[in-house]
Amino acid sequence: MSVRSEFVRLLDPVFNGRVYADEVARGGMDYPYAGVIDHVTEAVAMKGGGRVMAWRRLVQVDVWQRTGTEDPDLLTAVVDALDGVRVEGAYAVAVQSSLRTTDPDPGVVHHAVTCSVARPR
Amino acid sequence: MATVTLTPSGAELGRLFGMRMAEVTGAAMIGGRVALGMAGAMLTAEVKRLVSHPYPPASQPSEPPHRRRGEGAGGLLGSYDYAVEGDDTVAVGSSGADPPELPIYLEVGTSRMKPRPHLRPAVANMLAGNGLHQVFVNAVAESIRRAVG
Repeated sequence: MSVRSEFVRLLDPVFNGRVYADEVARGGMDYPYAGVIDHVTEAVAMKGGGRVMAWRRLVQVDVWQRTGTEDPDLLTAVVDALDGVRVEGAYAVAVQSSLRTTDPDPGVVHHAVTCSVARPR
Repeated sequence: MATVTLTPSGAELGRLFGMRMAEVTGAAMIGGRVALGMAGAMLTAEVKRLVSHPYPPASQPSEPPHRRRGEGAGGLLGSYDYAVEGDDTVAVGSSGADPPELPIYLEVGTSRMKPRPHLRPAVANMLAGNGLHQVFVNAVAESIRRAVG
């Protein structure tokens, strides 16, 4: 199972199954929903003896909500579902940051949650 | 000139050179601030490099944005620069973007546009090499060397 699929599986209970890989869901969606974008970056995390020993990649979780019904506890639930969890073939997921923006679409709030996943070479 | 090896313990250095610990840690902090400025300059240069590809063509999702120029270009990224904030933070951002939210919309995406990350990749590129670590080590060590004469 890929890291992206693992994120979708971990977040499904938080969003009642409305978690999507990569694609930005649009039109007719029930809010809130989430998207998972893998490989925002992938960089060397550790070197030893001239060899790469571990990679660290960033995964972005997009949380989309309606302004009027924004749930203040939803981000906590997302962090609880991901932070420190071990995903297959990787070390623990670490939630690094969350950025809240008001989307250009009226009435939509976007939280971009950045997570890092380190994995051995 | 005295030569010291940088260690995590300011107290050890203080004992070694007969100085008060505050003087040594103060020197380390001054070096740290110098290093923050250098790191900010390096990070800003890396961001500018990532967004230097000219438009057209338009960037693809997950690529850094391509730079548009001139009025009516459909959104301008503005000018990237850095500022040291306090003792342990350097912020890199854009001023003069039109609209002002454009850089962050490109970085994380919107409900109608996939992300074009350029800030996080710049940080990742810097952390992947040894350069940033060496900047801090050199600046702090140099500051302590000056303090101990």
